[in-house]
Amino acid sequence: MFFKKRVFLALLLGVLFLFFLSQKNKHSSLISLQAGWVDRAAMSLIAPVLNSVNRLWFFTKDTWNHYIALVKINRENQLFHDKLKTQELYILSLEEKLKVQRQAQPKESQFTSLGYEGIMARVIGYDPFSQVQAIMISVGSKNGVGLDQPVITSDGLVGRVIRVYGHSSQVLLVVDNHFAVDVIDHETRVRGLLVGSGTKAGLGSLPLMSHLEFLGLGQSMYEGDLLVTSGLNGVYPPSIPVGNLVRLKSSKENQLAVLPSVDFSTLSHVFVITKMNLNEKNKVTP
Amino acid sequence: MKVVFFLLWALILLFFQVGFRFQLGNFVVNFDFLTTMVIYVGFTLPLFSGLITVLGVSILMSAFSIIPQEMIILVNLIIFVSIRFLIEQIYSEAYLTKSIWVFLFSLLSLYLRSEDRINLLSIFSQALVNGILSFPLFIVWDKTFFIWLKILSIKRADLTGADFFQAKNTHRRFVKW
Repeated sequence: MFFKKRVFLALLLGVLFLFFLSQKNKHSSLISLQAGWVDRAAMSLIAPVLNSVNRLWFFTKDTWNHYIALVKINRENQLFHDKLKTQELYILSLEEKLKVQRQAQPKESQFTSLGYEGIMARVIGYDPFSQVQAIMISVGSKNGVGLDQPVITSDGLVGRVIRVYGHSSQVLLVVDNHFAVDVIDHETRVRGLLVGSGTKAGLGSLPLMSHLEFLGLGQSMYEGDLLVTSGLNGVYPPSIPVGNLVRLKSSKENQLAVLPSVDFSTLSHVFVITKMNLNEKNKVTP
Repeated sequence: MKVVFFLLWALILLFFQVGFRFQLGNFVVNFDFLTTMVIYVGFTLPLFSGLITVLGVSILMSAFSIIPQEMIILVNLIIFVSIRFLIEQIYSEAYLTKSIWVFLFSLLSLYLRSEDRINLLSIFSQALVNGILSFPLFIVWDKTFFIWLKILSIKRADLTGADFFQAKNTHRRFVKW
């Protein structure tokens, strides 16, 4: 019985081997591009099952990755979000500190590096009348301050010294109607005379602005242009920002208003230029 | 003594007037206490002592201002004399009425002093601030002025008819016939 079974199995193996060889002889390689009926039958049975299993697998994987595993990611995201906020706050506080330091206590070295000799001063008061744009500063003749000396900040021109006492001085601001300075357009190089606010300038309702006068015919300037001191009158050093050109709806025809570079409402420290040691290249001759 | 009282107040208030300035949009206002004081002096003091006080206050103001001294003195004197001239028509005990007069006289004062700096909105807002501030200021000045006069004025004895009779008799005693 056992022998018969072994013979039967050997014969079956032989048949299968011959069938295999016959199939192999049909095609030159082991890779068949045409499926046989057996393959098709097997595939039609297995493929739907495989497809379903595969779908189920991907569905489970997808659910896990996008929903269950996201709990961790969400936590991580929250952590990064918090860290980012903290960093943003830190950067903001540093920027604020820097601004306050620059604004509140500008150092003399800032200005001396530009070739100006002078002295830092605190703004200690204003003119008793609000219509007059003048300030009082904490340095006077005892500190080397003299008449008509220019006063600046890191933002630009503030004005000039018009009265000197022992330990204090009065400074006429660029926005007062008695103030005038020769300026030049930084972009177009057009020259003009910048005069403070006033009714003659049509700026009666804007006491903290200046305007331009004595412009040549046909000269073009554009809104937003930066005006700097020309240095031609000898009182003010060249290239100090004074203000930007703005167009006013209410202004007269051909009226050019100038918004000062310095914010006078927050002015606390100024630099009085007592001597200008300009380099040869910075010197301007009329 | 009245003049000294106002000059002392002017010195104290000048510190606030010079030390603070507020920028509200396009216009600037400050505590214009001394203009309010000139108006108060007009309401309170007689002509001669009033003139001296106004002169003193004006000189104090001009020490800190770039406006010419003559201009400040002249404008303040115009305000003072105008009030003295109209005092019978405008005088009132009510502080609110006085505040309205402060507002109007401030407008005049600011207009006269403005030169080319006339900015109606700024002048109006400054006068309004003066009018509002004058309300508590007038109360404080009234109270302190009363105390000042009480402390520093020459004390008079309350003499009666009997005292006068006695004095007369005493006097008679030393009269040599």
